Amino acid sequence: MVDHIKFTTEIAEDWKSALRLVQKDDKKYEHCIKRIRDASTASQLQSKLWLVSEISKLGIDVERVALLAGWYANFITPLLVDELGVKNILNLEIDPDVKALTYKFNKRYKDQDSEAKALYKCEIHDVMFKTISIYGNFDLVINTSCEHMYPMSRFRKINEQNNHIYVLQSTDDEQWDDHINCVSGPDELADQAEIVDVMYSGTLKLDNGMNRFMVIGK
Amino acid sequence: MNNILCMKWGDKYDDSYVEKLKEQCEANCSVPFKFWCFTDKPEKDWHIPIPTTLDEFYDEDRGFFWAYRKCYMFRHGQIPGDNRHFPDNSKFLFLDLDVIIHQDLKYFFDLPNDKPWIVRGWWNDIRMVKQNYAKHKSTPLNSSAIVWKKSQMMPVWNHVVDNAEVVFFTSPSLDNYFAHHWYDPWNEDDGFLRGFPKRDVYSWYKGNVFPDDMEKKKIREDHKICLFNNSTQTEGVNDDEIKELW
Repeated sequence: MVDHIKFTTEIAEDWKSALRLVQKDDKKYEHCIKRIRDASTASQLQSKLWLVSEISKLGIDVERVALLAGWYANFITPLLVDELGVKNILNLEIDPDVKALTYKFNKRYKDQDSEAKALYKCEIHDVMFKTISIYGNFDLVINTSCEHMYPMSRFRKINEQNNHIYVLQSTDDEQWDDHINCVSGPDELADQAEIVDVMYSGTLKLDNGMNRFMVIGK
Repeated sequence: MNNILCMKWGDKYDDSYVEKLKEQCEANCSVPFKFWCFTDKPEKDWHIPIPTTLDEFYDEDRGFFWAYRKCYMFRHGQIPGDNRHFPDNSKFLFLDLDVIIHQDLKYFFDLPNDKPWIVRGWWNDIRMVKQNYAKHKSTPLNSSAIVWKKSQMMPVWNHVVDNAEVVFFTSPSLDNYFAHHWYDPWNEDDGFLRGFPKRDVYSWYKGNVFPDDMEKKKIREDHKICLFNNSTQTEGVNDDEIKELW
């Protein structure tokens, strides 16, 4: 069970530089402060800890990860690297503001050098309209934002040549208007993604009261 | 050949809106043009029947992408069942029914036509647009007025048709769809669509240019067009105010 994130001096430095960017005098990223706060809650961390715990228990060997709509990836990136030994993470986002900030949060992985543990990249890419095969193959496709987008069957369809393991999270919490694709439980989440080989399926009640569903499988 | 298009379906607007728009165009356009109305109840020779091929993708209960019928205008081919043909050099100006025209519409036909033009809602705070971008809210665009030349909007039509299920599921409105796929709020000159310059088009309900000229419900006769569109589907919300100003 992974129950904490390793808050190293490197992370401290990177997160500080992310906050410095939103507080810069040019105010270019000032409007992102609330979103950074929302991406840094206990519930966000809880769901990511759960995710790496279950992947770890399954003993899946992971080198390359595609993170769909990974937002700032402030929690998940260090967890994937430290707990699962992931070497390469690509975050595919639609929000151009994310790019500069996620690179600050994960600066230690942005520019690969001989001492870097992993390489982190972020591309502005709408995964429901364009295949991700242009970036090569991935062992794992993680989408912890399924409630925000069209069902994952579409993603499978435009990436059918690949043989990813999917790690998907969603919720039944319909109170937010950007939750356009809530599901009733993990079974519906698996159905939406046409996952037939279910390796893990479960529900976690987060500290904020939200039901979080997760499915791992092919 | 210059064409002015409008569109009327359902019962949100009565026929007086179409007649009034036609009247306004005739009084405010110094170049020759033809006036057309896409409608679900074609009766006159300048009416064009609205196709129904996209209807199957629209979920009325969800109400997403509710203005999808405007996309039919972007096809360069003939509308099935309609025998009119637009020559290759045709230019189009689409106007919503709830607008007030202040200035000569010739302006719109004389714009450089290397890109299509659309209303950039300058009354929007661009910080909010960026903040809500991933949530598909706070679009900076408004499809109440669009200018294009024949065939120029075909990529939009093709994209909608090819991705209809996702587009209808994901985009709360046509304007939002445009902002995500055909415009770049971070680099506003780089998109497929280009916004009309500041002080061409303003909004009765939202203002003119953020943050300096945001007075609502103010007529600005030195501008080209006043919009009453408030980006909702609510019927009849603007009726009284626009009719008083006609």
